[in-house]
Amino acid sequence: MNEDIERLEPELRAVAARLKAAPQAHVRPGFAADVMAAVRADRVRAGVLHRIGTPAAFAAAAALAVLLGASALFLASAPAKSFATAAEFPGIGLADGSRPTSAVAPYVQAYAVRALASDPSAPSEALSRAVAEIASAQHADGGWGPPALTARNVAALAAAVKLGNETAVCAWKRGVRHLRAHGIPETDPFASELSSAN
Amino acid sequence: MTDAPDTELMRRAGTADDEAAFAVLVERYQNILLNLFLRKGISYVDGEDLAQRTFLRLWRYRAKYSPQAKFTTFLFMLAMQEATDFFRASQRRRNLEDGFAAEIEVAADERRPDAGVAPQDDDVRRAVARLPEGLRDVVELGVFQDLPYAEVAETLGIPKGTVKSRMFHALKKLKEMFADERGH
Repeated sequence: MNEDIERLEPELRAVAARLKAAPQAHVRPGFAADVMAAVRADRVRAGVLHRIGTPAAFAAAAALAVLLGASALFLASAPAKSFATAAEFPGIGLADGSRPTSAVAPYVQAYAVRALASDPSAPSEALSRAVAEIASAQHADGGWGPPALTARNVAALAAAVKLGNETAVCAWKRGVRHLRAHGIPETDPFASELSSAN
Repeated sequence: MTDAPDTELMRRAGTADDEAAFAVLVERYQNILLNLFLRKGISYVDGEDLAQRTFLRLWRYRAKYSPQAKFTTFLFMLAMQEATDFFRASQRRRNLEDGFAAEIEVAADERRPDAGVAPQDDDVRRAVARLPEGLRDVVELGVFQDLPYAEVAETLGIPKGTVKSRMFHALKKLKEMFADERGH
């Protein structure tokens, strides 16, 4: 105990000693690795933002936005079963669960998690890394910006939670709260996954 | 590197983006932060979440850290801000939710294979969580984190004399709580 506490009267010192002697909780195994994965994801995101912020990149960003819209529409209409296994992602570098460099990365990442979660042969570390990418991009309000992206990420995280993925639990929980708070209807195509995850 | 002082590890992280140095700090303070949040009455799952957010905030502010300041003062300041943000967000959510969140909370906690790692019958944690926020923060930093009054004052942005009197009242209150427990 520090000197200031030592100078207190004996009865209060005893209370302080009792507090110090109380049992302590411990983080789950792998917590530090998850934090570092989030830190790495943050570095990548910060680097991308820095580049996008330069005037030279402004025109390219505008063109990219058009491509993003078209790609998002395509992904939104694509049946989930067409992305059945992680093996279908090597062309965009997602087989190991890492973040793709494409501008449609946020949307693709959700599909990657679902694919990894549905493939028994996929390594669990890859799933954890892919989940950590989504979790680290989550906004303070529990969503990910566009409702369509939030719904996809929550569904993807639900699939990971069902597999017992620790990293997904907190982000999934906050995501569900966000969906409920914003009145996403139960007719959402991912509602069944939400229900079964509950 | 695991024996290096906090300030040196933070310097490496801040000037050279040294992730390995930062990882040592995470290992060193992860349980300390978790317990800090638990003693604020926050659940285990949310406590881990806040600990992770605190480390992320620390990483983002690494370049702003000055080695002249004590590392723990800097870290606990960020942790307190995270807790404040959490309670504000909880207050906002309370108006929007209809009890569904509580069901999720239980379901998510039960799903954890290591749920129950936090001591379940910890009367000390419960008693501290019942203290008013101003008293609780002083006890957290002054007793659990062993910071001298001057550093507690700096972290919380209050005068040293206030820390001293809050500590006195907090410990007196806790003494009464423990005495009541024995009486029942």
